[in-house]
Amino acid sequence: MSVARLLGENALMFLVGLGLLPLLGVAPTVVRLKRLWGVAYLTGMAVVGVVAATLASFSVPFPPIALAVAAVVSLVLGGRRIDRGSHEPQSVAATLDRAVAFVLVPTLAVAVGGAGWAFVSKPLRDWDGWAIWGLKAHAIAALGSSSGDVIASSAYYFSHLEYPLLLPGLDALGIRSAGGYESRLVVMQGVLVGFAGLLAIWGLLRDRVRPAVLWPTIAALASAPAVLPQLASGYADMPMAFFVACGLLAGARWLLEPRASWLALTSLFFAGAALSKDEGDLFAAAAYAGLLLAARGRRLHVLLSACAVACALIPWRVFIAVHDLSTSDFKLSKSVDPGWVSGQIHRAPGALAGLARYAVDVHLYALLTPIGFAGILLAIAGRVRSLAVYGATFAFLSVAGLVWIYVVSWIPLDFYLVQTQDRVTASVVLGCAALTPLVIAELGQPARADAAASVS
Amino acid sequence: MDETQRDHVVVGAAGLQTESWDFIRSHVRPSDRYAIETPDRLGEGFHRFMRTFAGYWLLPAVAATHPDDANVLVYIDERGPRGAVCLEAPQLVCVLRRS
Repeated sequence: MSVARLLGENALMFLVGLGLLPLLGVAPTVVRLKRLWGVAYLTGMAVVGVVAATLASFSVPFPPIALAVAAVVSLVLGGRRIDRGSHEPQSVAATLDRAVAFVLVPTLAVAVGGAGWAFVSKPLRDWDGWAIWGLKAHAIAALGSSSGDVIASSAYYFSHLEYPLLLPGLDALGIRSAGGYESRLVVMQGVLVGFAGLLAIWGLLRDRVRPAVLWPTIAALASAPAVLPQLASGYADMPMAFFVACGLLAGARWLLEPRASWLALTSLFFAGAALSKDEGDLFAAAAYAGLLLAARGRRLHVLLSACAVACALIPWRVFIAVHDLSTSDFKLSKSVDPGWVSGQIHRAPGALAGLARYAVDVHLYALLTPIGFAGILLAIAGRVRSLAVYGATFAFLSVAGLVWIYVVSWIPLDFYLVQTQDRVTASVVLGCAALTPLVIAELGQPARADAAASVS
Repeated sequence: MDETQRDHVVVGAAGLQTESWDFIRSHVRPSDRYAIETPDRLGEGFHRFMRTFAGYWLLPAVAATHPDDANVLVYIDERGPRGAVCLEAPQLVCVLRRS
C-alpha cells in the first residue's frame, strides 16, 4: 500500500510536469506535447523537488495535498495556454518513430518496472543511504516544521548536513503520503528518478534522432551495471546524474533551436541537479561554461539561465550560511592558499587515474564512457562546432573540478577515492553518452546546427 | 521481507546488534531529546559512529546538541547510573530517563 501511495505521488509529479511544458513554452501545441510528453515526469520532479527543498530550507512542511493542488493548477493553466488548433504534417520518419515508440516505450516501462520491482522490498543498507539521505527524508517527513532540529543541528554533524534537500524533499512527500517512514520508499524514489530521467532523455531526443540510434543509447543507459544499483542505493549521485544529463540535453537543444523555452528547461534540470548534491553546482557551472563558449551572440540568454539556477540555490545557501554548515571533506577556499595547493598538487595524477579507471570500467558503466567520448570526437571531426565545444567543455571542466576536489581535500587520497570514485563520475558519463545521439543526428547538417548556435 | 526485517538490515549492515538497538528504540519516545554516552576507552570514532547511527535509528526523537539538554541518556557499552534500564546481552546498553 505504501508503495502504491508513493507511485500516486509520482503520478501527480508527472501531471505537474505535463501542465508545465505548455506553460514554459516547451510544448506550446498539442502536437509538440505529444512529442515531448516523455519530458514531463522529470520536469514535474524538478519543480516539485526545488519547491520541496526550498520549503524544507525554511522548515515549512509540504503536505501531500499541496502536490495534488499543484497538479490540478498546472494542468488547468497549461490547458489554457496550449494551442489545440495547430497541426503539423506528419513525415514518414515521424510515423515510423511513433510506431517504434508504441512498441518500445511499453517495453522499456515493463523492463524498468520489472527491474524496479526487484527493489520494492530493498531496504537502505549502504552508509550514505541511511546516514545522510534516509535521515534527512525521515526528519523532513516526521518533524515537518521542526526538521531544522535535525538538518541544522551540530548533533548530526557527521551526516553531511551541507548536502541539499531536493531528494529528501521528494522522499518526504512519499513517506508522508504512505503514512510513515519505510526505508524502501527512499530506495524506490531513487529508482523512479532514474526512470523519469530515461523517459526525459528519450523525450528530448526523439524528434531529432532516428530510432535506430536513439533506442540503443537508451538501452545502454538503462542497462549499464552501475545505474540501477546506484539508483537503488539511496545515494544522490545517480539521480543527480539524470538531472545533469537532461539539463545538458536541453541546453544542446537550445543550441540547435534558438527557443528560450529550451533554456528554461535547462535551468530547471540544472537547478534540480544543484539541489540534489553539492557536485551538481560543479556540473551546472561546467555546462553553462560550455554554453557560453558555444552560443555566439546569445550569451546574455545563457547568463540569465545560469542566474535562474543560482536563484533556486539561494534559499539553501542562506540556510547553510545561517547555520554555519560546511563539508568536513574539503574546503574550496584552500584553492587560493598557495602553500596548501603546492603541498597537495601531487595528488592530481592519482585522482585523475582513479576517476578514469572507474569511468571506463565495463562492470560499472559498460560502454557509456566510450559512447560519450566518441560523441565528442565525432562532433569535432564532423565539425558540429556548437555541440563539440559544449560537450568537450562540459566534460573537461567537470573532470577537472572533480580532480580539484581530491587535490584540495585533507582526506588521504586512496581512502577518498575508494569511498567515492565509482559514483562521482556518473554525471559526466551519463551526460556525454546522452549527448552522442544528438551529435550523430547533426553530423549530416553541421551548418544548420552552427547557424542556429550563432543566431543573435 | 516485512518492514521490521527491512529495518533490521541497516542495523546488521552497520555491524550492530538488532536486540540492543530495538531495546534502545523501545525506551525512547518520539518526542524525546536524547544524548549518546559511550566509554572514553572506546574513543571518539566509536562515539561518532554510535551518534550517527542513533541519529537515523531513533528518529523522530531528536539528538540534543549537549547531554545537559537531553531528557533521555543512552549509554552504549557502559552501565548507566541508578535508575537506568539496561539490556546486558548481546551488548550492554542502558537508557536513563530524566524526570
